[in-house]
Amino acid sequence: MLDRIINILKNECISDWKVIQKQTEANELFFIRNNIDMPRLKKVNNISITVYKDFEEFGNNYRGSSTINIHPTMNEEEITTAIKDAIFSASYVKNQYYPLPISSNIIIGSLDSQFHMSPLVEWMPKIKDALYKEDRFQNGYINSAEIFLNKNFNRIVNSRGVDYSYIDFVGHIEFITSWKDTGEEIELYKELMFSDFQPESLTSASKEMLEMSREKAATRPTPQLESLPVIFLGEPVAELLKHYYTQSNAQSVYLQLSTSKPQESIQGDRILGDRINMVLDPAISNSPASSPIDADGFVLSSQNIILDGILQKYWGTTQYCYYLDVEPTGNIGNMVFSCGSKSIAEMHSEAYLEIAAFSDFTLNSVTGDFAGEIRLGWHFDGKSRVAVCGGSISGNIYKLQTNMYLSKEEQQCTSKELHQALYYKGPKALMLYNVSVAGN
Amino acid sequence: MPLSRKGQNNKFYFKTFSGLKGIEIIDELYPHIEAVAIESEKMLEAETMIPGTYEVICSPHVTGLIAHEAFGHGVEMDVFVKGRAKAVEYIGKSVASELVTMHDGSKSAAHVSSYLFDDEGMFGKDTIIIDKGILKTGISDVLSALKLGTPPTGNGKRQSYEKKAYARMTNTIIASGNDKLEDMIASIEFGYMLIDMESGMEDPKNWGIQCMLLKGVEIRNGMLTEKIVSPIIMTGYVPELLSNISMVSDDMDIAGSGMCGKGNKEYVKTSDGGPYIKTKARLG
Repeated sequence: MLDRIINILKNECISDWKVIQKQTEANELFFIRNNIDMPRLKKVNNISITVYKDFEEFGNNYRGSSTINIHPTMNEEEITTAIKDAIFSASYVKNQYYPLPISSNIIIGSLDSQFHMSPLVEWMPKIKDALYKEDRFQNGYINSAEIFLNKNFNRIVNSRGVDYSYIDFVGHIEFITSWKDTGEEIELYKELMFSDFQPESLTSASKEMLEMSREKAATRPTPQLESLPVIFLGEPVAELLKHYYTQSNAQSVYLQLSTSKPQESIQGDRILGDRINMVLDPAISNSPASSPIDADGFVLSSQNIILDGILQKYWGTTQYCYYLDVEPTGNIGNMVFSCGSKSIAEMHSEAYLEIAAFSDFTLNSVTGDFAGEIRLGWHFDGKSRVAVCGGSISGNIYKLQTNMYLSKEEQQCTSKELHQALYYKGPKALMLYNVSVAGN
Repeated sequence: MPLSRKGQNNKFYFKTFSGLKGIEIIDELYPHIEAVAIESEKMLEAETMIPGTYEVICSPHVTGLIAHEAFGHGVEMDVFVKGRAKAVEYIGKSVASELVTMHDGSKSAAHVSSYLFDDEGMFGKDTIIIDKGILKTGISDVLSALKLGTPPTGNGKRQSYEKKAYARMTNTIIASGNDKLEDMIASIEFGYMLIDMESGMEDPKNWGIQCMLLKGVEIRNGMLTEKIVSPIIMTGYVPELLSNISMVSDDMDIAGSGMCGKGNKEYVKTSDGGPYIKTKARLG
């Protein structure tokens, strides 16, 4: 079918085109407690076409684009009509001109994963067993889980000679842990994403959530606190540091959502705490965001973006890097941050509020404002450590970033992002001062 | 969404447009552009919220967010099947002020989640979830209804043909009351009018709620002042928040420009809204 589409595109009067094919084979299991509630199998073939139409207006060059999906049952006439409609739409889209990636001699390969070795259906019970291995407590349990394992064949072809294909795997688990002691039963939510079979990481994640649930069952309301350092633990650290990933992005700069400039501090002036170091690495093992190429067919490689708090260069797609007149890096979804100067034990040496789970921790990278309701934390007043929940924290990263400390301990986790997998490797804990706490 | 910048201070403001509409929505947008840009500039003067519990008036969009997070996700009946819903223990019991009546359904409003039948072929309905403060029922897909022995409510929705159907919200609204907004403002000595929502999160098991809000305007001595606070995080215990509702306006406004997820996936179109409500809330 791809050949038919390409032949049609070659006969149309367009400036450029791109075709992305994604064939997905998926196994899905839905559990209530440890019993299967529903199994699902899926095999789909998604093809999208982007057509580019160049035009000139008052001496300026523009490039319009339009993307359509081609369904497997469409015949040649229907595909041709859909492409002509897309070309018509593209002629009204007035973006500044930008080039597409061109063919290169680089050979790309599929990503390493044990999932290549046998059919998906054989991995599902192994994943389930790893997840439920520590589900053996009397008062706590995995309430429910949804396990998805996708095998994707990806191919990108464009009018500039790009023709790359590779296979990747995306595993996705959502599970709920519950715990009931003498009080009310409580629950916590966890999402895991992976691309390789690493049973120990699944087991340790579910064990950690069960242990956190036990702690949450015995929490007290978060007190009203002032002038106490706040330690972020686990996934919230990724959400905070993602701010620097967003701020160094060429699209953010072009859209004036970021004012970051190369060779200047991206962390503000007079830094008292740890300095940020960020590398984008497209090939982290077990990351669902690892990829040899981006969605334009640009071949990806490791990029040093921030060194000791100084922005080295922007990263981004061919389009936005062209607009800023900088070398493109392609769109890389793996962020690697260097660890910092303090161990978590050292962070615990003074009174603190430590937070491991929020209802939904959010940071707006434009304003720098962050906030979240506390689902599980610990308050240490200098004498005793008490598990707390409820209330919220809030602050602004632009005001607090100069006095920020990163842990020596490392973690890897997914970072939430709508419609795109982002993966984080870096400090497990982050400490900020002067965070506002709304307690009881 | 215009951005405003003054030194290191970056702010934005936005206004959304949605409905069972087509290209005419662009025409509706144009007259508001200048006002939204001016609001964006005003946001540069916004102050930080001092944490505390305040008397508040929630705008219709904030009211809708509360409805969505409080007794929307909390009564999706697939969570009943999993034993995750505290609501099960409260069917037939008081969970809100008797001024509160809450609906969900493809027929509860003509908006972005209105349809004749759901993704499982069940006719859409107008389900009354809370009637004068009493929790009446949840909303369900077919499989949950079969397991629970309850009638399906036409709430089986899927993100796409590739996905499983889940029990999902449609148009979720708190019904209008009889109060006038000006009387509600006049009744507050010191508090905030909470105006724009950004996001929210539910907690069906323990009835916590998180609402991220963009803007609040201070109320002093029964009058709106010029003082703006931003951003605001509203948290609390759902029955307490809803039981503290003491006035409900005769307005109704519904918004449906966003998407609703189940966990961190399964995004579907929903709308929510209602009148202005007066309650007490913990703000940070």
